[in-house]
Amino acid sequence: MPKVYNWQIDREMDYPYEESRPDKQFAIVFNINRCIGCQTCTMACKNTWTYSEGQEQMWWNNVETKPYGGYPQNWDKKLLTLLGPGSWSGSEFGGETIFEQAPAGKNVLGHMPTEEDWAHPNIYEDTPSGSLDHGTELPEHDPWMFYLQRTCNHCTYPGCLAACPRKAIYKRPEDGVVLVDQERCRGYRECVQGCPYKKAMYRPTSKVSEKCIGCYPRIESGQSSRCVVGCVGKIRMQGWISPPDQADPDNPIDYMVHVAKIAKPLYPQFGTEPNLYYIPPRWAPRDFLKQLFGPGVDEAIDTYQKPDDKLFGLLRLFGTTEDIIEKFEVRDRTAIAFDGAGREILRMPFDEPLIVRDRIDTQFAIQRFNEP
Amino acid sequence: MRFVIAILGVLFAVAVVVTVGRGSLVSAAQTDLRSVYIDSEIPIGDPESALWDDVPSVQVPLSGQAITSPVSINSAIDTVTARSLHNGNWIAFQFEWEDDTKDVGGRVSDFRDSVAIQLPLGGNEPFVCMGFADAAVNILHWRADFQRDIEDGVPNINDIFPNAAANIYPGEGDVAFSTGLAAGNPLSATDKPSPVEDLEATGFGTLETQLHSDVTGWGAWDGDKWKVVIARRLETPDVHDAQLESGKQMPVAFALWDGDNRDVDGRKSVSAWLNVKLDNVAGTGVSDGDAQQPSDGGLSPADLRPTEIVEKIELSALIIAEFAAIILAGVLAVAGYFFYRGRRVTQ
Repeated sequence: MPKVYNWQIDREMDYPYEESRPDKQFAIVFNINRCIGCQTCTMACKNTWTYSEGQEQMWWNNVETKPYGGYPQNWDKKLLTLLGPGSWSGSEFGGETIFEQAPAGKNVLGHMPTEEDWAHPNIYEDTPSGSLDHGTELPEHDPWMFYLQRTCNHCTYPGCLAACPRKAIYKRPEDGVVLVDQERCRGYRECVQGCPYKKAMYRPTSKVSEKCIGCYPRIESGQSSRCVVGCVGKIRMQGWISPPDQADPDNPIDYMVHVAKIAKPLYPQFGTEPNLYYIPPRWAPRDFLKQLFGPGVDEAIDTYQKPDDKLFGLLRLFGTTEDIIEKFEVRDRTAIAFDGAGREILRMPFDEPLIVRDRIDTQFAIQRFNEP
Repeated sequence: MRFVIAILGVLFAVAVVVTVGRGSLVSAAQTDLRSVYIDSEIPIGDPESALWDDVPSVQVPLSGQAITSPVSINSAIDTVTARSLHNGNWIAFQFEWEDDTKDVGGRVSDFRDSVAIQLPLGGNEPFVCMGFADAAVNILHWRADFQRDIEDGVPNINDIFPNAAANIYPGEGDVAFSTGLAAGNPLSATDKPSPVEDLEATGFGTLETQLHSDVTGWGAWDGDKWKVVIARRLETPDVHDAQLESGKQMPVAFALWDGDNRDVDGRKSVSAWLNVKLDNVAGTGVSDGDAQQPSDGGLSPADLRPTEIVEKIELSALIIAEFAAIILAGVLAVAGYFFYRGRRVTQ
């Protein structure tokens, strides 16, 4: 099996195919701290892509409540149990990935969810870790819970792609989006078992598998995906991520992941180099967060809680535009967003202007109420 | 003495090779399947037709597939009973195997029962596992889920989960909303003409549905076993089909999938190549004068008597014999070595 470099576990690892990074790599940063679990992203996706017969159990985007929630149920617990423990020494993962632990005669370690697992996408929604009979405060809430936003990770080393015996799954060189060839797929469901995040899904009516397509028709025209644009909490920012040695500090995603290091991949120890990055919730137990997001969680939360001007400005740009922000700049307490062609999209001041008006409007002779 | 040790060494090596390659021992048995000529219509739509009762059968041993991933080390189905008939125009194969669950797919975690025939396109025997780049194979694949689609229609969620509350489908009926169908994937077709696929492959992962299908068939499950008939014309106008001829023989291999065992793709039970020998229409047996052929040529069904052409190989006896041979040869080799060494020292 070829050796490839996975920067998220800071070492070479086994993968069935040679390293081949796309020209640009799809990525989204989620600020878990801001999510209110409204599922608008989930419905934006469902209402765009998966509302037809045979797709009833499909939620390409879902938001689950940790620690107990999961769609499909226990997707991560089952795989973590199969994978066994593994420790980190610094930034290097010392355990084995899903490729290195593949059972004989398979390319990937995985499991097949049951029908019941798929049937309850919002199981344990809003359920905290325990009952609350007292007040709780930072740095660690007890009990605790947080929302985890999930779509396809459009991994650099996709488990679904590695598992497909027909090579019916491919990663687009132009944007890194991972797709199932709908003509070539024969519904073996190896991808359903091989995707560690369980985002490859089988459609019984068409007998082929489908998955999140990254809203590629939108990103081809410079627009963010539907789940990103639909987010009313403004917790998502979409863009392009570079490998760490090519990080561009003016690229919003590169800045958050590689420079400020506040955004972390989900379960990097699986070994697929996933491309969704999360700003960890500052109130959850750190051990739990480290299991989900790998080392560096403490530093990420510290930096997030005391952002410098550049990071503060960038966080202001979340959810401000449908366009993909490819570059940004912060000066004079204002964040400026640019598109791929270098055109300015918008400016966000750090401070919204404060306007104080008289209680009585003399022109109309009426009293003003405290409404915008 | 060196000679004795050499002999023992060779014996030991042979025993090891035979044991390691035990999987292939099963398939090494060359089997002939006679395709009996009848001067009548073949009941393709009725796999349980009494016409098959008197046709000679072959018990074909099956083994797991351990060459490419995903593998099935152990086969879910150990043996299939195969029969064949032709009437000079059409040829049919009947397969009978034990299966106490009828698996027709439907849910995400449901896989289907199926059976496939593999024929070489070049006439010779290419690699038995899906052929090679320059040696294609033609595969005729009956699927229980395709047959269910034909009988009852493609199941919707309420067929599978009667209490599911899903009833609003914007764009319902529009092909664009079934991406597999819109992309032209034959698996997604809602009007499948036959439960049998006509396929071609040139190695692992290359299986393609042919543009023109020339196969048909039907299956019946009686509570504990499947009987499935796969049929086509001996000769077809398709250059991608293997062409069969009365009085001639053709290599053929079978594969079976047990849905209850989650068999799909490479997780299957497979046979080695065997030969299907077609009776002459005129009634003189196959051209190579094989002894298995009747001297009076084509038989009417009433004349036929079931005959086991090949007994199923008793694996357990073979394994015991192999292990005994290994242990014996090993002990003798070691003893011989020490004996020879001892003699040399004393000299």
